[in-house]
Amino acid sequence: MRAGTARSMSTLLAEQRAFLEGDTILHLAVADADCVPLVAIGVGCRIGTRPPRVTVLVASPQAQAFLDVLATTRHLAVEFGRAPHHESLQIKGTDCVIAPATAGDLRLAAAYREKLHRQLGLLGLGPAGTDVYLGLPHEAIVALTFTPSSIFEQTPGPQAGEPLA
Amino acid sequence: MSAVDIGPLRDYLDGGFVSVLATAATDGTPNVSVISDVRYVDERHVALSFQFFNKTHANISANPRASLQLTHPTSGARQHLTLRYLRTETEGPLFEAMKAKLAGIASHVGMTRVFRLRGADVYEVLAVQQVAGPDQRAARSETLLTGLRDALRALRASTDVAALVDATLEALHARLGYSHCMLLAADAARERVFAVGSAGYPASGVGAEIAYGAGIIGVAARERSPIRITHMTSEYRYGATVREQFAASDATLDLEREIPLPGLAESRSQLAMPIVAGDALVGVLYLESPLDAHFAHADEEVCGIVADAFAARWRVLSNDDDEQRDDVAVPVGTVLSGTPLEVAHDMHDHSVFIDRDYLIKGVAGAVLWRMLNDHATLGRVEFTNRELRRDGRLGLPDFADNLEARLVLLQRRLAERDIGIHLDKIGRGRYRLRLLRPLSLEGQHADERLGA
Repeated sequence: MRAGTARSMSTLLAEQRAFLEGDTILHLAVADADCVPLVAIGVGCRIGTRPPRVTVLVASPQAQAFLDVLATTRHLAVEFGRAPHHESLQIKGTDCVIAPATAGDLRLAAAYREKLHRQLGLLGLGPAGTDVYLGLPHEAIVALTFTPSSIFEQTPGPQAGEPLA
Repeated sequence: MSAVDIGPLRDYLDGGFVSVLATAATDGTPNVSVISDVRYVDERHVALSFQFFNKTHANISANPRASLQLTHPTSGARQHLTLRYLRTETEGPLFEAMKAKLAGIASHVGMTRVFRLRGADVYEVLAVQQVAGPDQRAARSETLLTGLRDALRALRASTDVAALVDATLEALHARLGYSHCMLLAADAARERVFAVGSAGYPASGVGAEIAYGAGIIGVAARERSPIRITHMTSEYRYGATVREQFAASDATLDLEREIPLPGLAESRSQLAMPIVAGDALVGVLYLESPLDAHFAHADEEVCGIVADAFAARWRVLSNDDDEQRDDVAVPVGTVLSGTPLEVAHDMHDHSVFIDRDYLIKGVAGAVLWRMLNDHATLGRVEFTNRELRRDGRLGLPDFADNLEARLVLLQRRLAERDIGIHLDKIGRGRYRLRLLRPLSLEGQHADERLGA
């Protein structure tokens, strides 16, 4: 991935959709009112392009404090990374809403688990370890949906942090 | 949130799993990024690799609060650490250790040019929270403890430095299961370490030298800090590094006078542990493996304990100048026969050549040349540590001379070459020269420096 000419957020999401909805590892961050950040992982993702929307699924029992902060601030950063070279993008938004997962989201999370078995296998983690990493079995999943306000190149290197949109 | 002690989490810092750092700008905008290397500093501090001037570094410079996710490399368990940024170190043992490890990671993923350490960001750990998975404890602890107990017993039972070197290598190799290990002694005056023994290699490499700062052994010696690399790295591989380092630092270098360091052609995990007694560097223990991520924190701890035990025993054994004749059965040299060995000596670096083949240099070379001269002119065959230590012509430093280690080195080089010159230990602080061939000494400056 590389920074290019300015494109609309819809176009950019469409271009990156396969990557974003693929077997990427999902890392999330929020910050509370005192600017204390918290980290969490995602267990699935879906992209809408018209209008541009990013939805990330989170297992809520393991991320309660994170979700409490997000409910207040609505600011979210999500990093989409892929092993072994850490090819990655970061998308940020300021209008995040939290909703219960739909039946489709639960199927998405199940499919994501299979993708992650392959992806984390590249990092040396077996299927059982991947399930531990994801916190399975999931007691409850919520969907975090936001409008992307910015997208950054995040692959390690001198271009990391450059905005794509 | 539990009480802060990240000691039990050190296994989370091994392996290829990325760690994740969340930071925030002063306006509350969050940011998340992966971290190549997280290093355990102590039970309340970690250091994170700083490679690029990016959003993460801008954030922590303005707002020191951060949250770090660690993932256990085999169980998948996750831990969240609440952090406060303290400082960035750009030199010193911590920086050098992280630089060495990062070079390994970068080489492993083919990103040597991209990954370059700018600094080691040191954070205080304010809180730890396990997010997912069972609590992880070192599974190998029982095996390592048993091996360590046996190793310490063997070290304590050693009665001289040569036996101590052998016991240490045997313990690391056979009792603790490290396939390739090396023990190097320090030459403080020349800022080099030299191999006095190894295990697991086709050739012992005894006498091979490494300058302080060259490769991970040299950096561990210079910084007196352990270095552990979990993936192969070309930057810290020895064959090339050592020669380049020597060539750059010494225009008069004659590579024909170098003994090759033993080492794996494809070393994929490395651990260098400095051996320190008081303020003095005694040497370096070095382990390597053809397997990736082979050495964990537990191995570093075990190696550190062995190094401490070695230093304590070495201190007792190496400074023992009380000459005592032990009832040691020493083979007596028979009648000297055969073609005389041509022994040449270069006073510049005390290199000694036998029949034009390089044997040894430095203090060990000077000691051998003096013994051979004394034998030729005075008929002497027995020598004491005390007299050698007091002989100003040998170039021993006033302190931390490591004389015993140099004599062990000399003894072993002679034994390996098997050329008819042997040095036998005949008691505490006493050695006997045993010659099987007549000698022809060719040292052009022998009389000025060391001769009778």
